[in-house]
Amino acid sequence: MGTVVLKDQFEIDDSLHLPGYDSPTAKAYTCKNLTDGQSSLIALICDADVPMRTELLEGLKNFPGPGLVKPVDSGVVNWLPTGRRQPVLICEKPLGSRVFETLDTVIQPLSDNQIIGGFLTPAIATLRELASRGLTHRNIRPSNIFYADDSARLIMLGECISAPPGYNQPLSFETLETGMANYAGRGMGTPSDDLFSLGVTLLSLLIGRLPVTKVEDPFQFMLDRINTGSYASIVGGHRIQQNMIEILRGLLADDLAERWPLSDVELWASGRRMTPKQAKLPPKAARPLPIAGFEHENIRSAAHGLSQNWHVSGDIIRGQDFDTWIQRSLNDEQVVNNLNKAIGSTQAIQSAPRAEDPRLIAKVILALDPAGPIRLGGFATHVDGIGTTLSVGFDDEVTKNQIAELLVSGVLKTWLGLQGRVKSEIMNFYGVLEKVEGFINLPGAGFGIERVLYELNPYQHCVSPMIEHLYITKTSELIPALEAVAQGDNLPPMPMDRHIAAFLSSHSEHIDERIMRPLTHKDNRPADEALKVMRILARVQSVYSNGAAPALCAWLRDLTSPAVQSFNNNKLRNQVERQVVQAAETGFVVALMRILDDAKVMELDKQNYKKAQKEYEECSAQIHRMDAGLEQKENLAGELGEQVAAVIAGVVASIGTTAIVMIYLT
Amino acid sequence: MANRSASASATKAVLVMVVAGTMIFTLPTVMVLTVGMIPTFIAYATDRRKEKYKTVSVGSLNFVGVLPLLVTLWTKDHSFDMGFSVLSDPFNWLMVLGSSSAGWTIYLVAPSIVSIFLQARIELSVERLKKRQVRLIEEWGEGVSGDRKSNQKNSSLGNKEQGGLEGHGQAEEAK
Repeated sequence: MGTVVLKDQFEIDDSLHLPGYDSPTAKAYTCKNLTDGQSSLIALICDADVPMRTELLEGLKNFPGPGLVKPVDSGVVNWLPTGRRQPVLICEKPLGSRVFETLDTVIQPLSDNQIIGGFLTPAIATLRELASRGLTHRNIRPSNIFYADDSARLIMLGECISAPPGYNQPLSFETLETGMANYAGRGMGTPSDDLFSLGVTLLSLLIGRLPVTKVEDPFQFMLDRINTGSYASIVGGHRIQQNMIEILRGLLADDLAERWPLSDVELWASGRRMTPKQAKLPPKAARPLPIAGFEHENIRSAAHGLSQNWHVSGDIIRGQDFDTWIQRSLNDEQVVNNLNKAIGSTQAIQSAPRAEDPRLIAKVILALDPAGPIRLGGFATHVDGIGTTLSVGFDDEVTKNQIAELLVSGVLKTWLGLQGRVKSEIMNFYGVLEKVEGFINLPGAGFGIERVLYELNPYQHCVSPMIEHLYITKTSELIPALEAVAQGDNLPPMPMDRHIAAFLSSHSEHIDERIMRPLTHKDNRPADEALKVMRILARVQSVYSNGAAPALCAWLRDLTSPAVQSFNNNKLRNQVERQVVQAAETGFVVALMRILDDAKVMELDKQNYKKAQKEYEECSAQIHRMDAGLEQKENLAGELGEQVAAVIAGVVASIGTTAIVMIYLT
Repeated sequence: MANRSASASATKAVLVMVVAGTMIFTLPTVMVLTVGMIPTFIAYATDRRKEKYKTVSVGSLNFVGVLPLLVTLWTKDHSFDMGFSVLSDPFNWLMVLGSSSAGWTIYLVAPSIVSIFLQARIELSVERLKKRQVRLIEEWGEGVSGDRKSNQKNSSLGNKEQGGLEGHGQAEEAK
């Protein structure tokens, strides 16, 4: 145990755990600012599996007032207690303690004055500032508010960055729209969602405990809230002072038009009082629609019922009863129009194949409740929560398949068609969703559901099994991470997998599809695969210039060894082997690539090898011919020998004749 | 064409007449030559080759053996008596038959000697070609020999299965 320093500025002591400042997905530790010696900071070591709202950091800079635990910085540290790198969020430390230690804590109820002056007023100022910056808190609950000082007069909102929006919120603190979504898919919401949470938190302070301690059946709880209103469900039998009913009714209204805006809350806090209005319940149908034994009397209830009973919903929406209920019992022109927009006529529903049921049901639910989450196959998320849902549930095959199905189902288009005004941030996100729809079924590395994960979550760390523990969020960190992996004992088969490829494609403007495309076609020879990977890593290393990586180069050298061995010429091969070893020692992948990626040399080697093979063959043929000649040498020698004999005899005879003539003449 | 054939026939007739005339005037010589060249006639009779190498080998040396007899005939007395006298001398026969047998010997021994030379030459060439092949193998490896096993070894270098980059979508397509 010891200390770890973040960005040469923040010293975190891992032996000094501050459980009083923990959040459900982060543990708090003592932190000291080394530049000014200030130690009133806390370091929240966040859960690596839960995405942070890193994008908020920039927006929360120079946040005024004492109403919020302000983030100071964030980064990644080598965290010894877990033996891995983990994201850390540095925050200002509240001077007081947490108001509710846990969600089960019971405290002395606060007085009206304490609530209005100490909690509501600073909270409204904080929410106004957040709204003016286009942000939402989405993490307001009794266990995430702190006393700003020891005197316990001022209460501040806790941090809102360590988890996705609404991720840690109990169901009763979420509006109907966000509460019906999965935890990770609640989306960033609107200031109005924060006001609802603020209302339930205010109620908690008023009664000294959570108004709804335990939700046994979330479906039934939400159904009750839909049918009787959130105010009635949450406030329930708690005795509330008359003066507080007005603000609670205003903040806990389910109808967005009825829910108080910030200005109304400000006016109320400054003393304006009006007669409390009764909560407006959703219009009832003339007769209920039975779904799985429950009689649904309004459209949102019916949508919720359909979303929770997928196995029977197909039959229900195809039935004549459903059509009659929509057309006659509901008497809501808007819903009929929505249904026509979403799925067309009743005949269209009935003629659709059974396989289309999930998509059909999702579209019907959207038509009934366009403000609710998108619900498909038992899965519910808001559009801007799709990325975080995928990030949190990436290890779960069901979640991955559900999101893949959602992206290609056309339900998103239906959702857009049914929305009135859409926030620009959501439209930007929708644009990304449209872009990734094309990637999802592409089989190559750099595409597929992995690419979707990184496109939808720009701050997502790379979750490749080989480097996940190193928590890299930038492509510039990839080479050092792979170098660290290469220095270990158990090397993976290749320093690249679908996650790394998708991470690079999505997060780096320098790695385009042209570079990644070769990975789509898998080569049977691993050396060729290794060469492709090497080209990509060489590009990454040269673009980011983040130092030598000798261990990675040695790994690549071993992987590309078959490529070196494929040189036919022994001398050339030995020469290349020596060069590769030297290049690997430099630690620059590009140096390796220059040697191994020289197509001209390889081609020349191949050509010369073919020539050598031909020459060898010719030699063999000649030897064969000569061997055959050797076998037939007696025949050859017979004829040739006779010729030779005739010549010799002729020559001898000529000499003899000349000699005899000479002898007799002299 | 007909003219050329007629002219050839006429030349042949003139030649036969000249030879016949000459033989009539040199009958002792013809007699010694005919008797002395009997080994050649035997060689001719047993020579099946068109080129008549055996006849040439035996005949040329046989002639060298007969030539001293002819010279004796021509220088002493060109008569039948002298002819018979020369032919009855056993030393002369030894010379004639000895020279003929020398021809036979050359004819019989030469093919064996030629065979030895041929074999040596072929073996040298084979040796040279094999050395070249060894050098090629040293330079390019066993694969250059077209050895199927070593070629397979080369082509399967690192052909092990390897996962990691296969696509989710690809897997789905496969299904």
